Amino acid sequence: MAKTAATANALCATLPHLGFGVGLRGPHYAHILEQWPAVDWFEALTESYLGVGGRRRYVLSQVAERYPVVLHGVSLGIGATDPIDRDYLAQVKALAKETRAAWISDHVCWTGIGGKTTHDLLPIAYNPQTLAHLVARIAMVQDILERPLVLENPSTYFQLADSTLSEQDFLAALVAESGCGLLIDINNIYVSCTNHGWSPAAYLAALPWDSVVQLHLAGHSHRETYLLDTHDGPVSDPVWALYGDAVSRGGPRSTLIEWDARIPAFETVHAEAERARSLCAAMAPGVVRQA
Amino acid sequence: MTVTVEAENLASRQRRLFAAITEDDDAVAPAAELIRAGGSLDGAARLAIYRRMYACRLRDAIAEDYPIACALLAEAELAAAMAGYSRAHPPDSYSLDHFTWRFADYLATVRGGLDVIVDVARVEGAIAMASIAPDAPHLTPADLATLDAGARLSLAPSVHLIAAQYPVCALFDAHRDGRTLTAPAPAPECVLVWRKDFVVWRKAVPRPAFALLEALAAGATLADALAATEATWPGPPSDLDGQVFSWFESWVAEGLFSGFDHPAEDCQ
Repeated sequence: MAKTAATANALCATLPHLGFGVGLRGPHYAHILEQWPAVDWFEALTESYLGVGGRRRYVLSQVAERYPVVLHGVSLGIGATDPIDRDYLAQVKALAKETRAAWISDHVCWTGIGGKTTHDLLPIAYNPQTLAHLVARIAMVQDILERPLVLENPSTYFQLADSTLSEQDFLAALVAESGCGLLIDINNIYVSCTNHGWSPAAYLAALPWDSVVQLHLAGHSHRETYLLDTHDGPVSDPVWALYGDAVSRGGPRSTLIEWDARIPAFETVHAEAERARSLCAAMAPGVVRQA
Repeated sequence: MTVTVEAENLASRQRRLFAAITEDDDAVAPAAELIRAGGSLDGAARLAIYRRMYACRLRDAIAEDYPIACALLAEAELAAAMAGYSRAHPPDSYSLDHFTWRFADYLATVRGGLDVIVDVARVEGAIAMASIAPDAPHLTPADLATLDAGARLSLAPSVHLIAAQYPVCALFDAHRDGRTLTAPAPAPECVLVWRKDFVVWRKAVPRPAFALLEALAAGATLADALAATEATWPGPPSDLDGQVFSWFESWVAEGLFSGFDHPAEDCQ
């Protein structure tokens, strides 16, 4: 493992346990500004706040003054082949400084090519060639951001034929060679495992838990022949069960509820975060701070 | 930057997949070969999931920013416009916010010059851009008192000026009030869109006021902008001074100007 990867790994281990948070979303702005709810932390979608002014940016600045904030991006394209967008990263870095973001995350994916983007999280091939490609790009990103990058497992609907590693083994190798941290989306594990016939238990067992900085929980939708990661409803029972398995393996981690479509009242989303807290408290009493 | 053989191969594969997701059906088969067989769905069906999500994502973005233009377009026209725009201007920014911003220009190219839907789209696009335009300092009444004829004013980033060929503001009012949208007869309307604090405003302004703002936006000095305004002023010239003062008072209060400078200062 390169020295820089070891340094980044060590830095990841120092990232704080933020507790149980909620994604910062527009329909909740008024409620948050009026009530300042007793939520542990917020995750802001990075690209929604880059280069913008007005209410969005004001709300984020107000939230950042009162709560821990994490920046979660969708456009880095760490698995893409276009050059790393240094201007974009400079903006991300400035926003992270302004909001005192606890960490910056994105996804293990590519999003587009030739300057065009799908605004989707597209699957990469899990093999040594792609691993080397990502490790080199993560090093560049971490140099620019001057902090470890945290990367999330995406929901996927196809696997590439030239994959030779499992997703979880690829993530473990990525952590070892790049020093990045992991954001493990439990719902994405469930969706991808269902769609590809993988074993969720084997997936969890292979993860390098020391480098798992954060967990995501979200809802999904059933289509006729597959599951779709829609973030438009409550966390499903199988995903809660998988979350319990994850906590039993890795211990409590900063956990966040994502709800991006058909967004209900803030209290409904917050209640999901509190359910995660209760579950963790039951499994690891004394480790989890009570709300 | 050196591109490795592996990266070139990866780029080639990603180009095939990208085309299959964003382009016509013909691009699917070559990309489906890259997908592992197995399960209840073949490669093409799995790619179709991403194709549907891509198309849906772009349609939703346009519908969100252009609700009135979409409501005025017939169903088939709307579907064709959304698909055509997505092909002509695929997303090329880190933010989906930026994807819709050329929709009015696209409609203008496919629908021709005089078209109420194009005018509506121009105003809706301006509103979408104004809502997230960067924050900027505002000129104050005290600053206003210091301006001389050589001053050049900067409009705030949220300010947009739309010279519409139709009286579109009535359509926006009807949409806001839930009334039936009826396309009006052509009649020029000058529309000003701007954001004050966190609220985006839209209003029709008199032609001379619009000409003054247009000239300032183009970088004219105050004296040259006022000369442009005089050419459009329909009343007695003696009335213009008082009117201009009133406009500026209101515009400064609304935060339309972010600053000023003097050409002479550029040389120092």
